[in-house]
Amino acid sequence: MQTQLGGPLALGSQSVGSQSVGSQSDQEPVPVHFAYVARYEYSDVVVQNDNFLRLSPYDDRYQTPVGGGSEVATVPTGRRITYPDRLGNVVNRIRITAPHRELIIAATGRVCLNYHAPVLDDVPLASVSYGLDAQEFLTASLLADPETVRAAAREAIGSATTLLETVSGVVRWVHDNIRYERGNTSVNTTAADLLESRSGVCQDMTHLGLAMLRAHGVPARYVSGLLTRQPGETHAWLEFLHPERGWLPADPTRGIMELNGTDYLKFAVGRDYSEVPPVSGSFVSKGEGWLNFTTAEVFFDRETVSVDDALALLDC
Amino acid sequence: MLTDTSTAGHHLNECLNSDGSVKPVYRNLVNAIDSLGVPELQRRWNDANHRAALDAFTFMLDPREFRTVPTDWVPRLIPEAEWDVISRGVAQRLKAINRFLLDLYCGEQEVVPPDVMYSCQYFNPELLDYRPPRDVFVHIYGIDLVHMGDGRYVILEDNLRIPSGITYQMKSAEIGLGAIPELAAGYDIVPYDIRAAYQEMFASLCDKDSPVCVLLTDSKYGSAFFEHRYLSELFGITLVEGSDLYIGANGRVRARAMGGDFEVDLIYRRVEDLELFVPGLTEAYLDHKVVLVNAMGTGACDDKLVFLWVPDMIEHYLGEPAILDQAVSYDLRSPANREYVLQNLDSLVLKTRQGYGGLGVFILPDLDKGYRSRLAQQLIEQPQVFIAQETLDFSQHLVFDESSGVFEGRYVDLRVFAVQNGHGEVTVFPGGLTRVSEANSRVTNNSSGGSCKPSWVVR
Repeated sequence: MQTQLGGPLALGSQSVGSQSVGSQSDQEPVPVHFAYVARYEYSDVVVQNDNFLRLSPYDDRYQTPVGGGSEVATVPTGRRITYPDRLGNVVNRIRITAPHRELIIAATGRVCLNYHAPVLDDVPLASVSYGLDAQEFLTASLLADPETVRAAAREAIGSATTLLETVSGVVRWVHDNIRYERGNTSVNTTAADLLESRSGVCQDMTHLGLAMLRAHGVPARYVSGLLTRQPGETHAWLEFLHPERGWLPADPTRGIMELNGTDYLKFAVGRDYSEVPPVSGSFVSKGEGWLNFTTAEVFFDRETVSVDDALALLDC
Repeated sequence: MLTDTSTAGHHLNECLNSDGSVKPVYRNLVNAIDSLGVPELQRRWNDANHRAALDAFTFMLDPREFRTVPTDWVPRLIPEAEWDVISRGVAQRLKAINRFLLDLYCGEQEVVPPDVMYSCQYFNPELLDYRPPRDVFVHIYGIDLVHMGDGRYVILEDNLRIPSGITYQMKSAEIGLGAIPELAAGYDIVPYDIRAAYQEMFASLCDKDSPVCVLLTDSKYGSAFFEHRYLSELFGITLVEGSDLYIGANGRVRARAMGGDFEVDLIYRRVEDLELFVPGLTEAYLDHKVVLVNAMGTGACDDKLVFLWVPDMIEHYLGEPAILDQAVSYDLRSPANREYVLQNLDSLVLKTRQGYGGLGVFILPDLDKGYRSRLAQQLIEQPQVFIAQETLDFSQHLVFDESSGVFEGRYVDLRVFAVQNGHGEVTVFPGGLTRVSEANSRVTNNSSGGSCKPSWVVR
């Protein structure tokens, strides 16, 4: 039995401050389609492949899934069950028992992205107290342990005393001090590792942001999804808890807060990447497996997008 | 002799009152031991060990080493009235779990949260909408209990995939009685017939008087191979390995044999990953070409997190309260529970959701501080992997040290076996298998080095 993990690989290029026009809360929601595909290859026959897919749009005030939200499919096909997990993520578990040497996972869906006014009401951090539900986002998770980043976390916020200043300090510090570079990190890289190496991809920067916010007593969680204007690969950013406004997004990789536009399409939230990879599971084979190809696309102008459209991305 | 051993004076020793005097039900047994005397008991002990070796009564932890099951031949006695409660409680639990599995795979279940159920390693989406013959998922059930010292038994866990050990229950009692028959004087031991119950179960599932059954073993190097060999002989069925089975042209399972291959109606399987042992078996099973005992998919209720909801299953499906209590357990996905557990580490047991055979069980009060804090860190990082249970101060029993000739107290648990046949009738085999911990430990699993002890239900 072996473990397989797929994506998020990296963000194509960094576009700092490419925040779209901002605070038009009266704007119409923007309907989009997305398509995702991944191909895994194996060096020997796989007789059993059991995967958990978190590739369906999350339902919250930033976005509304339309028409059932999503469709997922695999080649070869397997038996599927769909369920929500405790954080509201839609999980598709697909178990394949037809012998295969190649596995294709495809997902498509339709979602309305809602504009949202930026939250400006800041609060002094010392006066904030969070309930028991928030505790799990304050303590260590597998890849984001606040204890390991305390010194850097202090440096990052300078003399800030309020919630939004703290978050903004952390987000900017990560963006300014960590170089975006592929290939230096893996799915097991922790926030502490990144602090040491100072270079990594979006998921690593998100982990460092999470750990630093937790070190300041700000509950923070990992978000997995797509950048609608830079699809191609899955992206990662974070959400912090505002005592009155709930979970608010911020993106350490791009160095921005206030993701109020329609740039982000969210799949799942968790304490860190290890809880919500887009694809996770196990297969049984004498051989080894690897991710051969993956891509994602977002369509602003299409009437329909089917699984076949996702599969067609393989030929691009 | 028994009563003057100070090491045995634990307040929860099943044989003794708190003042050290022998409990009434054990008086005949103690008298029998006293009149035999230590030298004679040691001689008989040796006879019993010799018999066990000749019968290859083994539980192999290392295939290179012939190792008989360490057994304490002095029986544990369970009064019939106590047994009656255990027996009804086990049957009730088996029925509720079976009903739940039927809803889980073939209907809608509302008892366990969906993310708990569907993320479970042994939940198998392939089996959705498949109804096993006679709606029976759990044919053979093993349940682990501990005795709280006052006739009250508490459940620690359920074994639903391939419960192991029923032979050890039978064989330890048989060898013990054969070598030291004097111990039975004055007792009316409640009998049972494992062979009849299994054969009736096989026949009722296949709608045939004499179905063709095989026992599928993992291999002769597996730890419980003695049991596989013994049961196949007892039931008069063929013992096969995975490579002996294949799928015939008509889609039915066939077994290779010297006198010509034959079609198989039922597989009493003692392996979990069936498709790996016999490629194509899942499809044959889903096409109703073969019966599997236990059914595929029962492992979903073997999960130690799902365990927390079994009392709810009993109330939901049977409309009655659970007869037996279970150890108080904590779902660590909840931050409040996690907080509680982290603050009470020195009094709890941590278990991994998927562990078995004593693996992944951490009795925190018995661990040193460094180890405990490493576990606490792991719990914080990966709470979904664990559950926590209150530690129980359960009973000890007297165990004979044959070299020194002294009795000492050791922790014991009780694994009880039950069989459900195609008519929905449940048979619980009186006595069960008593497992004895090693000195200074509370883990009794045989895979973890524990020994066993015959248990008699006495009238």
